[in-house]
Amino acid sequence: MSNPEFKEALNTVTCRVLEQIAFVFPEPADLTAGIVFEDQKMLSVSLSFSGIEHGELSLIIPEEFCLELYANFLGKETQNGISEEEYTDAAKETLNIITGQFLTEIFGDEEQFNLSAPKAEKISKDELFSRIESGIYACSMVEDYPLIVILKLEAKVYGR
Amino acid sequence: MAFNILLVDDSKAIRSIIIKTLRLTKLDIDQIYEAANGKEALDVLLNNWIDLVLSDINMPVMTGIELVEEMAKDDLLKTIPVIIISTDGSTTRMDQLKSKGIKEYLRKPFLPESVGEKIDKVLGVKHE
Repeated sequence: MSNPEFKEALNTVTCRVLEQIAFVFPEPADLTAGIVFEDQKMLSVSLSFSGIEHGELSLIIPEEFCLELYANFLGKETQNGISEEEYTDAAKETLNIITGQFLTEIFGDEEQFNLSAPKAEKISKDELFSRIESGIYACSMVEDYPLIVILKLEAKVYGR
Repeated sequence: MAFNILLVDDSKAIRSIIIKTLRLTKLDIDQIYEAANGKEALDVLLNNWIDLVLSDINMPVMTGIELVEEMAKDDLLKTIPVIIISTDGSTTRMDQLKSKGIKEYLRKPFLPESVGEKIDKVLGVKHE
């Protein structure tokens, strides 16, 4: 499978999952088309998978949008009182679901994968761009919030 | 008859969603217990009467698969039906889990009505 096909699958799955779990409608976007990150505090959640292929999937998401995500998850009308632990949990679970759907989309529903527990960290704008360069990424926008999913596949080691 | 249900998922958000979903079903529920991993779930199972377990697979400390394997070692616990609710979409894994005694499998994200349908099927509940 080629990088554009991975990218398309990442976009399709991310948009579908966010529609289903949070009732938001992301639009695929071009990261090089002037998206502004200056004022956004970004949260990165990532997990590794192992099976027929090994790799890592990350979701980079503005913290402010995580609040909306959590509120929509639970059908809350207000974002008041949502703790960092709660909105980070929502971001981790979103990545979990995206990963499960992405792996099925790419490798079919017979392949088994083991997933690690998602880890979360806050990242700077510079870190964001260095991570994008290290993998295959797909970007989408929900309102003014950029959502970036990055796939890193480990190189296969063949017997000598 | 009112049922006691145990929810096992490391995500508090997912547990909250499932609880909301359960409250929307017509099922007569007495208590809903929560656990964040398989080990916590075993503690609940050993100290309370539970009619149904809804469990995730990928959890820290003890996974859902390990939980099912532990339940299978106990004559009483192995009679409690388990429904897996997971992001994992592998049909191979589903078949393996069914061979270990899992009654039903629900993939995240799920529709609220599908939770009720699976539970009714497993518990043999018919609504008027």
